Amino acid sequence: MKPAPTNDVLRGTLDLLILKTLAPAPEHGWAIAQRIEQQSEAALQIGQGSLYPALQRLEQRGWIDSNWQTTDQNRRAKYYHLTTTGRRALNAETESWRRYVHAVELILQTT
Amino acid sequence: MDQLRGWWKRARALVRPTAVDREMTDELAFHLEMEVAKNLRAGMSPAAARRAARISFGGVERFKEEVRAERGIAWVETLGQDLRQALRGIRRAPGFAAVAILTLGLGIGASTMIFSVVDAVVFAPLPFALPDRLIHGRETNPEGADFSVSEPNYLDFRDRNQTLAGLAAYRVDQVSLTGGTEPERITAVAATHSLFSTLGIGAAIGRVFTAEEDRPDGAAAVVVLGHGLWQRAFGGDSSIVGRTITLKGQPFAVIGVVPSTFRFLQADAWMPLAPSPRSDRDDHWLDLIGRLRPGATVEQARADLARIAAQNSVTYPAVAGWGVRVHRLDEWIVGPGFRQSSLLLAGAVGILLLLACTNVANLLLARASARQTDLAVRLALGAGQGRLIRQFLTESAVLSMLGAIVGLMAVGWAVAALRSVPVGLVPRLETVAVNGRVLGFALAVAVLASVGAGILPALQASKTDVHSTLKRAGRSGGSAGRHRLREGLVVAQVALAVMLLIGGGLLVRSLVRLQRLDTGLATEHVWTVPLQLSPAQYPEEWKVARFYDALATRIEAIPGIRSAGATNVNPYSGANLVNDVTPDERAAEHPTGYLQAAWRIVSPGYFESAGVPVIKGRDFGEVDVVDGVPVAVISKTLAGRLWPGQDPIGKRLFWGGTDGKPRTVIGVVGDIRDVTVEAAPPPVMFLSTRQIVGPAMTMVVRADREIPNIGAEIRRAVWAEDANLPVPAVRAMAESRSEAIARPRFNAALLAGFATAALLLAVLGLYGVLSFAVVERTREIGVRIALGAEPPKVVGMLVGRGLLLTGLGIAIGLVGAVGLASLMTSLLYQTTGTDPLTFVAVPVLLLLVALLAAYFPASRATRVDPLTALRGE
Repeated sequence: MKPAPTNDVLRGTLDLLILKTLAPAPEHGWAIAQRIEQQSEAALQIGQGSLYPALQRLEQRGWIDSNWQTTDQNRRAKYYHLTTTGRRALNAETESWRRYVHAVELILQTT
Repeated sequence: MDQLRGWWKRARALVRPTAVDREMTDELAFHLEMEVAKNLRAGMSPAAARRAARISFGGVERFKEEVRAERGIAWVETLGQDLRQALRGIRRAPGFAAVAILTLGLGIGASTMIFSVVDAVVFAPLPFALPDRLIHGRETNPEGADFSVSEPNYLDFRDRNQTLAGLAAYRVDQVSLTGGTEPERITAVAATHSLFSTLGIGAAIGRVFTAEEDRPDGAAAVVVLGHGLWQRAFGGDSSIVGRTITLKGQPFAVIGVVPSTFRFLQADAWMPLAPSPRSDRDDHWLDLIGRLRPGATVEQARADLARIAAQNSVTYPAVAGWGVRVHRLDEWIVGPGFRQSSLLLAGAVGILLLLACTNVANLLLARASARQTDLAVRLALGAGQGRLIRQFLTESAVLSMLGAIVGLMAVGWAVAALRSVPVGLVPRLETVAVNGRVLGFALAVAVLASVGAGILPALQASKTDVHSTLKRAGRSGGSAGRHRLREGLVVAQVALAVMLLIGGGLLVRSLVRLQRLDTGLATEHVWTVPLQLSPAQYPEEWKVARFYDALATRIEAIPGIRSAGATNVNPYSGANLVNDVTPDERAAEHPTGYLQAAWRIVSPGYFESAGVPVIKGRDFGEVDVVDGVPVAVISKTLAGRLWPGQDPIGKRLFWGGTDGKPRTVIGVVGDIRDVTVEAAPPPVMFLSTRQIVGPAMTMVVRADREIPNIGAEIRRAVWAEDANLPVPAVRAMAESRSEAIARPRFNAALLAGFATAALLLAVLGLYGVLSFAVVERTREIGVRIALGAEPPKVVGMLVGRGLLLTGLGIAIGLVGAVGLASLMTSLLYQTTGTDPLTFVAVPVLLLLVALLAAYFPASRATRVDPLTALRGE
């Protein structure tokens, strides 16, 4: 049913990155993409085609919530913020990601 | 809590899709704007900034689609869209839609019709308590043929079995009901009192009869009315209970009325049978119905009764060699004949449904082909393949549902028509109705049909090659693969049609043989009328005989009548009488009977009236008297069986037991088949009404010409002799005979109908594919003609293609038909499954029809103006 994802970032990872980006303060979609791009030193590019479906998904899971606010330039934009469940999820996801990276690292170090 | 909010958002998107959609558009617009602003800051010109942002963003609609899919409610939305689109498509192409709906309606309607009959006749439980625990039993004679049960044998079965909770016996009779405005003949069942408790049926009003009223020393003159007769003759008046009515000329007290749900044997009235252990053990005239004891199986009951029959066979010489036959009651009622017909019809209907689906698939393919550009554009704009497949399936589902509605309307009409089929042809036909199960079936078939018709076009369409289709920019023309698929479907259609046509053709051929078959009885200008004298009014045999003689004389006085005679077995009424026949010289060797032969009591004028030739010796006459030499006339077949190669005239034989007086054979007559048409001529012996007669006889009247008002004339003659005698409708012998082959005719008519529908569908399919091919190839044809190709050659090319497809289909169909025919052998009369005429006629017919279906589109193609064709569409 769902079209195949064409993200540059692995799907599960994208959720984690969005949650992390939203952790300090609410942000709108474009800013989330920019922030991820900048902080990864342009290594990770988030296509809009993945970003908005991901936001939709997270919202439906109840991890983030949204409301319309005015930006500094006086433009209306949809801001997303973490919910309590989302914050818990961020911790859990971060934890499991670290374990995963550690495990992969262990394997790469042998030999 | 957060989870809840998630659900709320999902629900909101479903309920207020436009608001949600607008929000999304706003959000994406904002995103785009920010992107442009960023590009501007990077120093791009406004135009370049906007362009770069657009490119990096991609197709807005596609993202919307993906976001919607992520919401998880996409299918509901798209279903609505697809439905709207399908309905729009139907409105835009009403001709296409009408053909598709009618085609599907035909397929769905036909299969639902057959299902409703099979459901009512085979699957619906009998209206009795725990019907699957009921059995039906009859005896078998020493030759293994099915036979009725004698009273003493019934009592032995009843008293000595160990597997039945109850065993009842009954016999169906036609009796007269007098006292109303006109005497009426009704169906009366004489039954043991246990029949009601065995079936689990009580009286709706009053009571049913008791053991006391069913004692061997004489049945009480009481009657229980069937619901139908109660309504018809007594206006549903409940005060009838306690009153007395006249049956068979004798008074019977009405003690009760059975409920309307109790429909069995088409009985109008029920009376006590009162079987006696002292009655003749060799006089077989009953049927049995039993209820299995808890835990007992039909097989155990069969073995149990067979054990009793075997014991009796040793104890009583009269029933030596007799056995028993036991079936589950519902299986016995349905019978193997109907089961076979319904299997055949189910097969035919399946093929028809398949044909209808193929045809609609073909139509959809043609349409998809015409809409290719449209599809390619949608794919390019980001519509998923799954989405396209769903859209096609929605379209075929809408067509199927509309088809199902059309089909069901036809079924409603056909069910009413079906009830007019002669009673008894198909058991329980009166219970056929469009009920919930039938509606469910129609729905299931419609779903099946929508997948069947939609899946191929859907898969094809989803494989549309965006690039090449768009490059051709609106120029229509299908890919070779798609065209081949449609041609393949036509081949399949022709093959299926060939199978149905050959199946129908074989049945029709067999029916024609049956209709032309010489049964030994004249049918032209011959009428029959069954009569039943009241025993009270005609207590002595000579009075009965005198009545029938006087009646024959009176009828023969009607101008135009050649002869009138009486027989005790109404031809083709289903009735038959069989007894032991033993040549005098073999009596010592075979004291219990040499062979079984049908027997008839006939009056001296009967052979002339029925058109049975006297081959040797003489007809019965005045010289044969009650206290004279007992005489018999035998049929050619019986003569050959009893005295092969010898002259039977003057020989003597025993009828029934060999302890009585033998009868002298005075004549040999031609063979007759007056019970069933298709069976081989049975051995028959005839007795004279002058020597033995019963109150129930059928007058057979033969004229030299058609006589108007023959019914009224005969009725007047009967009432001149006895004003109280009920006279049922006078029937033409030809009509009774043709009713005797009603089942083969029913089968043949239905299958021929299906075959015609199949032919029509196949021709439509062929015509559709070829005319579409012509439209697609208009350019090519234009080029050919412009380059100097002769129009006839072009026509030849196109027609040749059509004939090639048909030929292929015929070849495949013939192979299938051989298989089908081998399954049908038992339904065919003197027609082999490989009947050459049918197997040649059907392909020739199909080729001719295909030729026409191909010629018209092809000749139209050659009238194409090359210039117009080349200029493009």
